[in-house]
Amino acid sequence: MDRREALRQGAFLAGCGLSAGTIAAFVSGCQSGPTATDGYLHSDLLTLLGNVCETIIPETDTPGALTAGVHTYLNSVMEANMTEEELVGMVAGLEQIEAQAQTDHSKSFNDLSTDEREATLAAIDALEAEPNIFRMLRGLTAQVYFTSEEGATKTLAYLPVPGEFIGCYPLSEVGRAWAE
Amino acid sequence: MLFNSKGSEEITYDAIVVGSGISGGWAAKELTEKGLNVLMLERGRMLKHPDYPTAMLEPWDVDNRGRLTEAEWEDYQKQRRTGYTVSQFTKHLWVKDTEHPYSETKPFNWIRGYHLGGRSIMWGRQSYRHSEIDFSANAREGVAVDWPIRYKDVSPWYDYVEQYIGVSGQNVGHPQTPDGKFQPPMELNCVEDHLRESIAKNFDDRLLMIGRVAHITKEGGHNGRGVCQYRNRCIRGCPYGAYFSSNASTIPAAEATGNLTIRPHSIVHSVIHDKETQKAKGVQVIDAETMQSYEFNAKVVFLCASAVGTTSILMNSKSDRYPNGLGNDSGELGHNLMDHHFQSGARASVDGWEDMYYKGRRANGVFIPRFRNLDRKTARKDFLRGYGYQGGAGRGTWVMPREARMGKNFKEEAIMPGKWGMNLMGFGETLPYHENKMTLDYENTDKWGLPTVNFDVEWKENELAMRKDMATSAAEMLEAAGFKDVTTYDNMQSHPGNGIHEMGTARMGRDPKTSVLNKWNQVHTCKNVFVTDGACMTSAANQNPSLTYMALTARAADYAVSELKKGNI
Repeated sequence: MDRREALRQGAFLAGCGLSAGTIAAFVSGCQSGPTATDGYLHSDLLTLLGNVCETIIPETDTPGALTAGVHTYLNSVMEANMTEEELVGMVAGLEQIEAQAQTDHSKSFNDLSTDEREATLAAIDALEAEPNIFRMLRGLTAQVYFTSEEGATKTLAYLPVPGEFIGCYPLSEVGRAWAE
Repeated sequence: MLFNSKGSEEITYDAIVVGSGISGGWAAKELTEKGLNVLMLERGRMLKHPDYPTAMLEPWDVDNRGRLTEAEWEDYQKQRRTGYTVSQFTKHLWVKDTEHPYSETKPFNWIRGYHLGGRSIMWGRQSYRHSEIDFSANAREGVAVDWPIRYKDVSPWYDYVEQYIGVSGQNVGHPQTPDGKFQPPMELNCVEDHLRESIAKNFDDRLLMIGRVAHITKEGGHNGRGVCQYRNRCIRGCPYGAYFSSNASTIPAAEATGNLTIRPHSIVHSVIHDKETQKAKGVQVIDAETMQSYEFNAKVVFLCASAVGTTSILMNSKSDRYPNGLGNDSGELGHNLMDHHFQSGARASVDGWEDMYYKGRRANGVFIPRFRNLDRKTARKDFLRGYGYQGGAGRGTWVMPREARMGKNFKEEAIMPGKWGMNLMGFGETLPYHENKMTLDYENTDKWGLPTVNFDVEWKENELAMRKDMATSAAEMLEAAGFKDVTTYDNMQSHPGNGIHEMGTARMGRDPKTSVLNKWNQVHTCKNVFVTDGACMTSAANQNPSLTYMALTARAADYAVSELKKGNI
């Protein structure tokens, strides 16, 4: 099974119960189904979702959320995991981000620079009402990213068969957190 | 295949071992190595080492990143209660509650796996001897009945078992946690080592050591089993055979003798009692797949089906001589059900050591041996017995940044290990209460027509008082070490059974009027039936019990063979 197939068959991620309340509220179903194949969002919103995820975890010297397929994973499992109300909320939230971009910059979110995208999302983050689309996607992006093959093996320190345990080991030798 | 295909035919083995887990594997190894022709009956499916299909998978390789979906949880509503055992990586190793129901007068978690090797694949692997303090506790305090054995009776068998299975650990000279024959210990990390020093300095009565765990940490020996690779994926089955399981260790040893026949899908209905000889003639079995009944005969029967499984078989073995279940003249069968109570303790965050980390995933933690009620000086007024702590220190992985909201800074912060944290969780002894019991429900039968189990078990004053001390004393040690944000917890949702250490339902004792088994794990009045799993335990101690089951099984097997040779059974 390749990664994409695995993601498609998978559902909303590990740790649904461990995430922040806002996330849990939005994806409270946390159910899966292997039936979602094409995904829920139409292509414009999927592109928008990808750009939001990439703004949260961008490509640096390691892959970003886009390359890790965070948005396509979310899209493929969304329908099977969310209630109708939550799905409507997701679409409305993404449209809210687009509207914020239009208000602040008179451009589509997808056409904004990185700084402009961050400013747009910060404006959403400043809203107190819950659920908040930015805060929800912030948590989801991190969870999906760090349990993806790219996030775990290229961004975190990945050592599937350590072969030894050293109790006191300089962090400088690892440089980052171990993938679990 | 030696077993018969027609229910009417009779084949006699030297011994039948019911169950293939920690105890059954040891019984089969010892009996076959001593030359007996043994039939091992396992109610679940075949599972051959090293066939562990999820052992090398990553979160992105499995559905739902490893978690079960709500639809899948439907089958595991009771098994899920532990919170950690069932996942996409392990669900094939745990029973479906929908297929294997039981009922609860009071909440009880009966967490099981039905396959060859049983829970020896998914066990916690912590391995501690029971001490003289433990074996004499009931007599000293007038609780329940006295153990018919003492530490010196079991000590050589602990030596034997530890060396055979490979237990990594350290000798510390603690009176209630006797020293043993160990593989090299695993290391503490920096923060745990600091706590060890602080406890040594600040508490006369306490010490912290690395856990004793049934892992091989040194090359060589152990019939080709590998050395621990520090993956911490143990619960899925270890393809290296680095921790002890029946599948990696005792069953291959028994098979190598040429004297072992394994029959999976074999649910033991009852032990057949022979009125003439006053002994067991064999066992009646239902094939789990075909529903067909079989009778297998043997000179000796070892019941190693786990405490509740074995007790169910004995209860269902009714005859004119034993209307209330085989060996149950005392009326104690099914009573005195014990587990360990735990999930009470304290945790803290730790400032400092920010430049230090660890390498490898150590499938082990720290251990603080019991320090209450060991002698006059440590005597408590509020509870009997005591508890040990298990726990550890670690740093969080991909902690959500507080300040950085998104972008490069967010990512840079999120990929660094979080602050250190330290947890100490108490594991306490529970007393054997006659009224804590299991019974068979003949109104509600399972798909094989067998009665289901009902549990009526609760923690009482002694356990509840001990839990308070578990939390307070943990916090005290974390505070003394200078750790921050020390908070206590006491998870009262941790029902009996959650420790997955069911014990005591066919206890050993000196008097047939008050116990089921004698000092050789032999049914008092039916001498060719032995029970060497958790059912035999007269008291629970606070240590993880599997090592004791192994030692008692090897000891009982040795006795059974010598009695067979003498013609006594």
